[in-house]
Amino acid sequence: MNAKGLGSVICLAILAFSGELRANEPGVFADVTPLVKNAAAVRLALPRPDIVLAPTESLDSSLPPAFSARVTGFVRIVEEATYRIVASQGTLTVDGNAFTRPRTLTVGDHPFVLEWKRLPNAQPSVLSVSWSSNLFDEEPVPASAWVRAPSASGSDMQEGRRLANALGCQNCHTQGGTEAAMLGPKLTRIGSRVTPAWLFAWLANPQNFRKTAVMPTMNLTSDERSDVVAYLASLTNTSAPPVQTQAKVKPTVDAHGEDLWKSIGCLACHGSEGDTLAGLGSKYLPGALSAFLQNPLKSNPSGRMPSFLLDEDDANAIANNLMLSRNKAFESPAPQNANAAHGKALVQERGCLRCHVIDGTAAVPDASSAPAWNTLKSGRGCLAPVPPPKSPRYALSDRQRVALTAYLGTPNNAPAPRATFEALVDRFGCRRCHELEKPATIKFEETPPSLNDVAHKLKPAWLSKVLLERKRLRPWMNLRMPHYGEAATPLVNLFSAVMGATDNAKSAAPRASDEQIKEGVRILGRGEEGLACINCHDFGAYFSMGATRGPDMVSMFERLQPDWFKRWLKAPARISPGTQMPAFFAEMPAENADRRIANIWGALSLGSALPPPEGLNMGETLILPVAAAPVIVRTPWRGGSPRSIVVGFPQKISYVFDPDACRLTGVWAGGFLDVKALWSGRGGDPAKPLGVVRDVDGNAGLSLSPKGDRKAAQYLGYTLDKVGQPTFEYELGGVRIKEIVVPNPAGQGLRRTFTIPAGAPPLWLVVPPNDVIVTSVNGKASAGAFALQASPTKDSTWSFDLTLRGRP
Amino acid sequence: MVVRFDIARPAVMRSLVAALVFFTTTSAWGASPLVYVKKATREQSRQASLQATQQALPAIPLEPWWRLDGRFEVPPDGVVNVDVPPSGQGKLARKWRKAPEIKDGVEHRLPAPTQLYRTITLDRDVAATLTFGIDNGIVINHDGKAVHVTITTYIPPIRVLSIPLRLHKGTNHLQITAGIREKTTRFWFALSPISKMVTDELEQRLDEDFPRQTEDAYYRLQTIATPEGVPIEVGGMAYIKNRHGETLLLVCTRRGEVWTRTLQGQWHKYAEGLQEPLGLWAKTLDEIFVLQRGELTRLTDENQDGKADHYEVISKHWNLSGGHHEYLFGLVRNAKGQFFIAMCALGNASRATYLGWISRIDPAAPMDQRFEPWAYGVRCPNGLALNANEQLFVTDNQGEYIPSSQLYQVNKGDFFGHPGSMFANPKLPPWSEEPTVEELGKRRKAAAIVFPYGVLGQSPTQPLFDTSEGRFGPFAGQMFVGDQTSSAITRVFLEEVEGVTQGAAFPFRKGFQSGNNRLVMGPDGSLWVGQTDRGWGATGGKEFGIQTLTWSGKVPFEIKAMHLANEGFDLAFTKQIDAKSVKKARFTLRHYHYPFGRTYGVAPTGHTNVTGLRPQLSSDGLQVSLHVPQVIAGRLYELKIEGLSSRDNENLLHDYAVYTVNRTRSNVAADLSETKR
Repeated sequence: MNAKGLGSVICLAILAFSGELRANEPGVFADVTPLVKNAAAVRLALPRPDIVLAPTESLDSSLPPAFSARVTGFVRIVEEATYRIVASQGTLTVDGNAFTRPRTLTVGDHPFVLEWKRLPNAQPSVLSVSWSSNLFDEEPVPASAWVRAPSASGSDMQEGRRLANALGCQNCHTQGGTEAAMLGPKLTRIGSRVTPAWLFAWLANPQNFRKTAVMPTMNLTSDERSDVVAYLASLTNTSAPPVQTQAKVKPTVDAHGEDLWKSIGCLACHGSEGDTLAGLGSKYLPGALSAFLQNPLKSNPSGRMPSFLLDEDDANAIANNLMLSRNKAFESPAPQNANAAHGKALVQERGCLRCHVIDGTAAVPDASSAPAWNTLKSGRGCLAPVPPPKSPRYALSDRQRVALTAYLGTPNNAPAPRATFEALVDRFGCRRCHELEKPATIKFEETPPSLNDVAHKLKPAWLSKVLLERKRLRPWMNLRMPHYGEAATPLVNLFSAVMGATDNAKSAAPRASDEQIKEGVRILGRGEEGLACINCHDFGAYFSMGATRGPDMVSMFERLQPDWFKRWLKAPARISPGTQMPAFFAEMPAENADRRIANIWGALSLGSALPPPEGLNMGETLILPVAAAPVIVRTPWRGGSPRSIVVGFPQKISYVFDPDACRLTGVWAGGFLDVKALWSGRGGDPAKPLGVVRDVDGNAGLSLSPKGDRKAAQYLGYTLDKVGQPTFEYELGGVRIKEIVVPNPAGQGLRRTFTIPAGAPPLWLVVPPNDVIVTSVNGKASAGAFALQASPTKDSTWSFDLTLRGRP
Repeated sequence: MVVRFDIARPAVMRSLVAALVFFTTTSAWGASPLVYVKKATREQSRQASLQATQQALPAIPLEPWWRLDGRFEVPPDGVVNVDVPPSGQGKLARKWRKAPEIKDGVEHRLPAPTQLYRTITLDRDVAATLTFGIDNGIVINHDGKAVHVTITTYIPPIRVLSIPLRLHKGTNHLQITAGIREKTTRFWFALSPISKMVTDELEQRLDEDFPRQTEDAYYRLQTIATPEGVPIEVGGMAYIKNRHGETLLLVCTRRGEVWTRTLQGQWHKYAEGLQEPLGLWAKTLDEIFVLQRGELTRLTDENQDGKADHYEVISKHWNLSGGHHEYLFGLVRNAKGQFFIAMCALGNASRATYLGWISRIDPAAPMDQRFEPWAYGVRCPNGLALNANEQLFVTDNQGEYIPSSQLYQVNKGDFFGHPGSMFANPKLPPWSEEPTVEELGKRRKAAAIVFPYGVLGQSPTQPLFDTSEGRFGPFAGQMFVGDQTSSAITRVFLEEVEGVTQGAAFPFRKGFQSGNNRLVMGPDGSLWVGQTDRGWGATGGKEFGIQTLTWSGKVPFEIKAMHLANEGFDLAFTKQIDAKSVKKARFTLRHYHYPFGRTYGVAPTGHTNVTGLRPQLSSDGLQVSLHVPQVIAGRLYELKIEGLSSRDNENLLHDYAVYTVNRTRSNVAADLSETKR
């Protein structure tokens, strides 16, 4: 319970409606003047003042490394206290005054000015603003505290640069920005992926297929198009036939694929606001979409579509559903007898290869010359309202044209970490899922970690492992952090640069003494003096002992910056309002808290050599056997109800029933339960099944429609028969249902039987595909959902056999 | 060995003989230094003997202490060079300095940690006793070796400990780190040349002259055999009648089973597969309700084969998160058939609901209207009771916002101080802001009884009213409260003062085998105590079991009740008092309070002695009045009585009582509100 955290959330909610807030856009403005004669100031919109600049770098690529900046905006204060706010460089005033001493800031937005004259020298310039108050220790001012008045004069130039990068302008108009512009997909084996019909229609107008498509309409006649298509279609994987791993496309929605689609994060980019994937069934050759999903970076290394680390089955399931959507306009066969050789020449000459790579095929030099970036004029070429016939036709809005125009002629004076960072974050869609200097745009049921403070939180080496080596820390989350491939490499350092963070791990305290380590380990454990951290955090290979699962402790030292760790332990709710992490150290004197935190850190520094804390369940077990009669245990269940009902049968098969949702959570064969966590010590923690649990009902189960719709179920209890097998009774949509699950009399597995009263409205048993095969014994099958139509005159029963796939 | 007699009595000869025998038997290995002085009472004799013994022994020469603020690493040999400032942490230069202000035997408030160091130079070996009091952690090093270490996990009231200290000839180096946690520590210290051997000997002598009265002489403790191999970790108990009119004890266990036991001791498993049931209410085999974590369940045996076969949900309106602290406690039922339950506040409020709430469940209502949140702000309410007027009482365990364990009288809408509950009722509108500790303190309803922590138990469990009508002794109508940690039972007397329920608590019986979790009155008027200590801990040491207390028929000499009077307290006793002893007896009354706050475990403060009590014995010899012109509301009045005897010459079995004053009769001092905090 964290009343404090909740309290501050509520406070914030109230503040949002009070009149004291003068600014409502996250970020600050920087008016930057190059330190050269007669230079004009450039206004930049930045998410925060903090930055690390290498000697040759600048705040924006249009600016030279030497400049004077006047950063303005407001500091948002949500708790009245005595504050001290300091900048590592320049002069900072808040409400017109510098902080010669701490002073009280009331709740509301306080205008600030930071004057910074940056003269590069051999060392990187680090600008970071931190604060401290009587309520909390020194910390970097959180991104959420920087706000500015909404302003139309926000930087069009910056937006134009972002667009130019996304559209790949500089791929043709060279001598432009220094950031590598995004490339389109590789066309090396395009013929193995998509249909010629689709290619032919796509080239005519990509936006007809997908409104948000980047690809412009190229200046090609219909004949030229068919030649190009003939060439591209010939680019197949010659060493192997097209991938055929995917079973035939099922005519119905694959529920597992649907589950994945909704839960792993596809909707972050392909939701109602994102890129539609309609018509993919008309685009891909059989099996090719699944192959693409298994490794999108192979054909599209830009990272715009990252890899979700899907295995073949998962990819097939998702691909199956996407392939159900067709677009007839993209299925008219491409003209036959086209000239592929001519098509190849066109691809080489017309500039296709400026954005696309075809291994072994080079562009004809200078065949498609476009004016250099710095010679472009507004309202001409691609930017004209009606572009001339030879220009590629981009689907640009007026707003986008204004932004691109503002970017035209912008000099390129220095690399700018913030600009590079924004381009990559934009391409990867980081801000869709993560809070990063503003709230995440998509709200999922699960919240991915905030990136606001990530450079102060994580060591760069760990960030690199996450971004480049696919290290993942929260395996219990359904939402997946995808893999962006090598394109993400620059982010590792850019996070530090844009947050003004320096790696403080190096200046950490010296190695802890044995005594300190001992105390640290004691605190992690459940014994005397222990805070029982292992209850909620994973410990190496061992799961947390309670129902809550928090990040692994063994890798904390490898992952976290020591300063952040200390701040987190002292006031978790400051960093993550509403976190389940208790503020263990908030109430004790600072000296004691610091000592204990240092000792924990000392212990964590042992990494995988960290000795197991007291009370860690390392496979010690308390096995509950099943003898002649079924055994019932009620226990919280990992991933299930906290009041789950588990039933084990002498036939060495068990199931777990969820009395909250009235669903069959899972079944397993083999041993019954390890009740150590439930019945030893304070107990009450989830018992562990002694077998591989296969999901059964998932989010569906007995439903009011074939799609798995349900209303709240009302569990009423159970009755034991002579053998001791429970028959559950519950109400679903006003219908009183009885359900009994018993070992299958006909063989292996279980048989579940529903009894439905006379005259009940129709019900469906909807079981998502998984490792349990459901076969109807007397019900009528309809793929994925079984209809249970009650008799009008008498109670009726339906039985289903559950067979465990791959049972030993 | 010297024996002195103040009072000439015929017993002199007997004592003299005994002393001589003792002398001869001990002379073989050296004379005991005990100087035994017999006085009128055991306590007076003890004090006088200790004083005389100390005087007879050569004193230990004590140098003044050296002190140092902050941390310090003791050298391996324990020799501290006070001229060398310690290296290491700290902003200010720290130096050892002489500390004549720290006097032995006097309580000091010191910054924590404070280092103390002194040398003791002796011309002989001395088996000394080191006695100290501290409300914090402490490390004592003798010649560089730790002879005592306490690291506390909470801050209890000051604790007094005696440890043997073998001082040797030559220079001894004594170093103490007083205070390990928090900012300050209360600390006192005394070194006596009297060894534990001598004090043990003294107790033996006292036992001879003043035979001890034991609780067991009045209330006999017996252990009930439980079925072999079955952990009867009691979560609830009830006495019921089966269909044949036979009386059965019904027990539910933390592992989810329900057992019956006949009066002859035959056990039978009646139900199983429940989720840690900590509440049970039953009248007959057909009317059994168990409170599981996840639901209130009715158990029935529909096919009448002697085992429950229908597990019917009465209510499962609350949400759980699966956290192991989400205990549900119960179970009581009023005449209208409605149940009361209470939920621990220590769960995970992001998912669980009604944490820290006491709720009412009406099984007669439609399912969605059965559950009604009733009162809130409790922390770990492991015990409910209804009195004859159907007033609800709930105990609560000490911790954050609950400065000491207590007993509430619960009315609808009451709030008791723990804010965990404020975010746990989905039907309440969100609180506009988190209340401050001050506001919580003001809003909360004061407990009817505060149990001083560590003095009257440590974690109260079920309260039970004595409905034996005298078959359980002289306390009919009073309340007994089980205690988990101290394996004891506390007795409670309640009265209503101007509409407010309050009263006094007394020690009743200790020495149980395990944590006393549940109580029920047996059909013969005995008290049945169901026990478990798994994960919770209890001094008894046994993991689980059932014990009974039976009244021997002998009335103990006890303070039966402590009434608040207009000007003071009226003490009622179980037996007539020897009028002479009232004059000689010492009545010590002091008051203090537990400050409300969010810290886990706080020490009581503001101890004030009350003088001028002028004890007056009533004409029937059963009551003593103590005169206190200004009783202050918001205070605990703690009474100790020494030297009082009954007309049949018994000493008090328990000499202690504590009265929780929420309201005074005269209202003179009802407005001393600042003392409430």
